[in-house]
Amino acid sequence: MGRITLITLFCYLTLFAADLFDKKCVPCHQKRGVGLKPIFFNYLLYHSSERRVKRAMKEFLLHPDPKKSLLPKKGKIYRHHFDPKTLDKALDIYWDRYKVIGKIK
Amino acid sequence: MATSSLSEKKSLYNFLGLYIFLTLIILLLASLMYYRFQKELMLSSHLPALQNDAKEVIHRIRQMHESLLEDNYYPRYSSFKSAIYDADYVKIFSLLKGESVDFHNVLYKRGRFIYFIKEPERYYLGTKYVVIEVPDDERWISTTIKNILFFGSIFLLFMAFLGYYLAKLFLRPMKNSFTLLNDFIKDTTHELNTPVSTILTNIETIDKSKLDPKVAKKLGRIEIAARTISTIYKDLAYLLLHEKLPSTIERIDMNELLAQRIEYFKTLAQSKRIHIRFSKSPCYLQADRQKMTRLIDNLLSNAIKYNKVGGTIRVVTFRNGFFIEDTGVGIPKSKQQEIFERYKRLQSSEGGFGIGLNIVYLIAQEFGIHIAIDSKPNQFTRITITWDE
Ligand code: HEC
Repeated sequence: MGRITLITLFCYLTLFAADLFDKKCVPCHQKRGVGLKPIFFNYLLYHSSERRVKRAMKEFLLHPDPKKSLLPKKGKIYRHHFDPKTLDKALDIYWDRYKVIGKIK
Repeated sequence: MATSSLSEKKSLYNFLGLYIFLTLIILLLASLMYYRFQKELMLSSHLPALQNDAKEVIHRIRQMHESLLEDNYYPRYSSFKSAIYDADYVKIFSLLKGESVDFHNVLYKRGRFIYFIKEPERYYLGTKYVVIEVPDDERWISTTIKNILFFGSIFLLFMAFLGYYLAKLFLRPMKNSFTLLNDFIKDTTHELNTPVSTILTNIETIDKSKLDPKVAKKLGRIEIAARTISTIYKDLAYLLLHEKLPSTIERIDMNELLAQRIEYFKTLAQSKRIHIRFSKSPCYLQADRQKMTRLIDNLLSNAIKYNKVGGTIRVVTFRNGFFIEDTGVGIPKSKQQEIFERYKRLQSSEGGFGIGLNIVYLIAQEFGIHIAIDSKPNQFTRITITWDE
């Protein structure tokens, strides 16, 4: 009984997590015309590995600093409001979606 | 002569051992350095091409990156293989044959491949390291080995000549002092002979029956002392000269010779109240009379020296040999073998052991004579001398 609840909870959480990225991040970015894919490749270009890219993104999204932005400057920067845990999950999905490893032929 | 040339040889061997050891170490180190140098040379000769290869790969992954991986075809070349790794050494994509990459080195050889690692100025596709792999035909190794063998042999030859020269230089002072000592001993021993012979001949001419018993006893002691010196002189002379002494082989009647030597040692035996019994059977040997005398003298003097007061010595001849048996302290079984081995080792070790047995062994060796020891502690020691007919 307890196990089933746990499994359902887990499934729910992962589903929720997948939802999280597609529901929370993608729409707004689409609306505002800031493609998440170019952003991803920009982070790759400057931070290289999975660990470093995620760390840099998290750092930026939690504590935005115009000097650290990898996007072209346009004065005021958008401030994201997410708690670190949600952000971790969203960034995992983000990485898996655009990662390079396994996609090169 | 024997001992001096032995220690001379020993120090020569020590010197040569050290010399060869050092020469080989130098050769080894030099070869190793030469090999390393050749390897570096080979690697750096590949560098421009490798730089170029890396540039092409970077150019290509930059294009891929800028297309946001819409264009995802990794470049392939026939002349080299390549791979890309991220900043945490995670493989992004690889065409390499060899599996592990050493990121601490920029240019190195592992297995049969040469590796070159280049860091692009920006991490296209997350690439921090571009690894280029080209096969090494290893021709340089065979030329290097050929060169090492060639120049190594020249070096060894040179060192051999130098070593020979040095060894001579090294031995000269020692040789000088040895010859000096040798000559000195030879001269002195020779000069020793005349006075001792004079004493002995004079004692022999004295008619002892006419003397006062006390004086006769004292004269007997003088005779023994003089005979002992004479025997030692003869042993020494033999040891110093035996290599140069030609042997005059004759048919020796061993009964006659043994009787004569027993007679010679009679006074000495009497001083310890030792009784010598001699039983004869026909016994002949082809050998040098002087040398056989030395052999018998040494055996007899040992038999007297190690006998107890009032003991007996049995001398028995038979068809192809004789034995001398005493009733002395004896030699324990465990030591009998040892004495034999020491006989044999005597030639390689220096002194220490009584020269008497050394002489017996040397003479026995010259005439193909066998020596056997049989003994019971505190009962008897029997040395049996036999020869092949
Ligand atoms: C309400 C709209 C909105 C939402 C929701 C949103 N973003 Fe953004 N995001 C933006 C805007 C606008 C920018 C561009 C900011 C700028 O230009 O300074 C941006 C920029 C970014 C950047 C680039 C930062 C830089 O300048 O280096 C990242 C990374 C990013 N968003 C990730 C996310 C992730 C991950 C999520 C979901 C958890 C998310 N965003 C949700 C609006 C949003």
